Amino acid sequence: ETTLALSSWLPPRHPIVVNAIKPWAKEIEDVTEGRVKVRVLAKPLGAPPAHYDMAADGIADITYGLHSFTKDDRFERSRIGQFSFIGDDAVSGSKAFWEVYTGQLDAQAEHEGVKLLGLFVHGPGVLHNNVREITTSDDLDGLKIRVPGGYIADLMSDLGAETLFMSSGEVFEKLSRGVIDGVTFTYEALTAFKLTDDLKHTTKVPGGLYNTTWFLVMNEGAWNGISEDDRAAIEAISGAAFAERIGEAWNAADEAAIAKIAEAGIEVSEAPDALLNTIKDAAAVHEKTWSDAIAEDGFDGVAALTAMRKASGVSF
Amino acid sequence: MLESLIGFAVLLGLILLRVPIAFAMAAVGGIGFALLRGWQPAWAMTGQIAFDSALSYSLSVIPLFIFMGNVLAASGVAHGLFAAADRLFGRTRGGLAMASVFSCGGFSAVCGSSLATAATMSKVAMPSMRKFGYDDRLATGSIAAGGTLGILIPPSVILIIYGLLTETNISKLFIAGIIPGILGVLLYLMAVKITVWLKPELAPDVTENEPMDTSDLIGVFCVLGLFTFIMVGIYGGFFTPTEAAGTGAGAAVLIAVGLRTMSFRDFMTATFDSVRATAMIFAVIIGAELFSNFVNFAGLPDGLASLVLDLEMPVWAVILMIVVIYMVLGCVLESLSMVLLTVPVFYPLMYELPFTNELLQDPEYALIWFAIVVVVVTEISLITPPVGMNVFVLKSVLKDVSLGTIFRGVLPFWLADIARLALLIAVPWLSLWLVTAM
Amino acid sequence: MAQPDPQKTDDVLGQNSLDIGLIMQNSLGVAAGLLLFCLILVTCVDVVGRYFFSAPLSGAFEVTEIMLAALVFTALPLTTERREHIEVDLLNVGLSDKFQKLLSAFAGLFSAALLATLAWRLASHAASSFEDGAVTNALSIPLAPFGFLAAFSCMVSACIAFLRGIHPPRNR
Ligand code: NA
Ligand code: NA
Repeated sequence: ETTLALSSWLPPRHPIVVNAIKPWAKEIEDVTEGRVKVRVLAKPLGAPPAHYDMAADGIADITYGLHSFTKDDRFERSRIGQFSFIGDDAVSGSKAFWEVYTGQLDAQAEHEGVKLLGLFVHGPGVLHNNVREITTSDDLDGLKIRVPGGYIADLMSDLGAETLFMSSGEVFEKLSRGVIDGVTFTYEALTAFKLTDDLKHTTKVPGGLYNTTWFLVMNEGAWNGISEDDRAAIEAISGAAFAERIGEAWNAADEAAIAKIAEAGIEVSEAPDALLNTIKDAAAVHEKTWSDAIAEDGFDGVAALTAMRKASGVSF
Repeated sequence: MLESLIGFAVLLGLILLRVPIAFAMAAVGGIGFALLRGWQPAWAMTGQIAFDSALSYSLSVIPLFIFMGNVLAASGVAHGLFAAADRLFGRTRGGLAMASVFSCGGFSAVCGSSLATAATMSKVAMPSMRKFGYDDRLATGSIAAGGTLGILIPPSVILIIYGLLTETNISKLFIAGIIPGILGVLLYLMAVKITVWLKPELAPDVTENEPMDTSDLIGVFCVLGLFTFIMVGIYGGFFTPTEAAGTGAGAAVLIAVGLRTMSFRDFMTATFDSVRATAMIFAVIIGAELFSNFVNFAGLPDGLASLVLDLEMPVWAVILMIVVIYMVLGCVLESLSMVLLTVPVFYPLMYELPFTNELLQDPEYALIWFAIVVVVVTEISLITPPVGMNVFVLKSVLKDVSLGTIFRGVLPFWLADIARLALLIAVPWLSLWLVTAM
Repeated sequence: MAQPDPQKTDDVLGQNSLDIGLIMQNSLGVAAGLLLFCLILVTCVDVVGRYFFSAPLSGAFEVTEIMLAALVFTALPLTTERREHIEVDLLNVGLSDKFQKLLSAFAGLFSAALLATLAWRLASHAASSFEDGAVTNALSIPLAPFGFLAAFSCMVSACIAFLRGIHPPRNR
């Protein structure tokens, strides 16, 4: 009998903790007939960005987190999931990300020292602002947009926006004081950070403007300490099954948020073709830089992106 | 859970052997974690926690508010506050003690620490009370107790730490401290009134007012202005607490320079004191993070939550139990380490308890209300024997007064604190009203 | 949170205390003080820039974080030298001088061992940050140098605590 410690850094009532992480942890006990238990700790054992190393070093047995927490090139190939037009919802996006990243992009090799149990993305990222409806890239000129960094930061500044960095907790204050005009967020984040009163327009593109990629990993030693049967049982509810489970949790959160956004009178509009084409052109440059970089290690980024978009069913 | 209790026992032993609390917590936390989990993970955790703890935006508010308080203490505005308060209360019996309490509350509004508030106000208020023949008990008691308001009335180092531990918004915690802080001042004033009514011999009739000149008056306006600036800035969302503290510290320097009461030497002393206090606080934070990881891993918070839920204890009984634990710990432990040690164990309960109060059903509000409860119990610990840090501050300033005298003098205020605690627990609205209106 | 006992300042390391303390204050203390002033300056420039010139300082929060870490570790040896870490003096009364001295020695050596361990762990953490090329999110400031600074600071503090352990002060 083994008890594994899962360190969770999101707030205990976050929708993916309540509806995906904890139920998954509970189910491990069921599928292994009680031989493996997962304990979700009351409080994380370190700062959020430390969570990958915490699993690798065995500080906790199981952790989850964002690949973008790590600023070095360790998860270079994971960036496939951060581009535009990746998935219209979190289930199709997460399943496609799991399939392609673990398949032709050999995700396990980039997750050295841990057992990779899950990979996922959240719902499609969109652009919210309180100045005007965005119909062409000219409308973006000079708008101060909070971005999380990475691909979306580059994309937004390519399109002419002035990008600003700050922690997501500060967005509310900065938006209500006019320090920023908008933010790239998911629908769920818009309501979670209580921004409905401070935003007026939301611009979306097919498959999302950007996304963020997440991992669910386990310490290698702890994994190897479990019997083969139990490992198989855990794998059966992890991977693609976990992508589906957590995708549904994100989707439910997004749907609830979309209802609140509509209630608040925020106008949600699809980017017109001209703007979409501008975004595609800008995105293509970044996709090429990335695929060239991973080509050095013998991976075909273009094919992987095509496969991923096909798998998630994005048409754009 | 047993491991955690052993850990606490060893920790207490080391503390009694006079090992600095920060180092005792780090050692017990690290070794405890290693025994449960292996040395390799414990080593990895130690380096990571030690580094990550200091790399925090929200905690940068700590040195800034400390420096602001230290500069204002050196600038002499405290005398202005005392003199102005004396004009409010001076002509009544016990007026100087009331003025002390009141000006302690005023200085708390620009100083984040209870010890610094007590230390500053004792230098101003004590000489005057002694000159007019106040009994040492009442004189020292009013300042030692009044000083505890430093961590309730914003800014407050303890509320910042609580915010860090529980991921609660620091702006909201500060706003929540205002009404309970004012309530604290009012109850202390009543404590003085009742004390001198029962024992008139403790406070003579004083017919003179504390002298006050223009620079005193300017100082009072500066303190009022600075507090308003910080609170409006935070309440209105104009700044983050860090920005409020940074600009507040800048303003404090301008005030001190403008008043021309602070020498360059005083200024450097205030700076050195601030950086050393910052390192002291972060040493405790690092130690406490290590210790709380051990306790968390050993399952204490979970064990406690399931115990409480399984027993179906009523909410009031749980809160009472927590308060009693704090009161007992508060006899020996100092406020900062007490909060760092216990809050990680108790706060997860705020998500689980079946509150009947509508406000508290939102865990965010429950955490804010619990913060105020914790700070008030912590304030009480500062004046509870045998280890009462605020009492020690008074003792270090007045070498000829015995600790026993000060502890006896503090008693009426201690009773006022208990009344306030009961009121704040019974009426969460007192702590949450300003926050809900935010 | 300043520890209020003015007596503790000068009698820490026996006769040499004044010199070591003064040297450290004039070096580490001044450096930490400058970091504190920079911290104030960065927030003031950010706020003033934002509200008066509509030009916020992008990434101010990261600079703030980094400066805080540098400030804390620069000041740690000073706090250690002045014995301003929080201690509880409960058994103080009624103990013989000899026993007092023994306690002081124990606390000093214990602190030294712990600080040295922290220094080792921080150095090793910094080394792996260096290998990974860990940088901050927005401004890509490398983190390893600050880790090494932290390790160095803990080592200096460990030496101070060790000296106190082998030459425990007479009172307190
Ligand atoms: Na205060
Ligand atoms: Na006490």
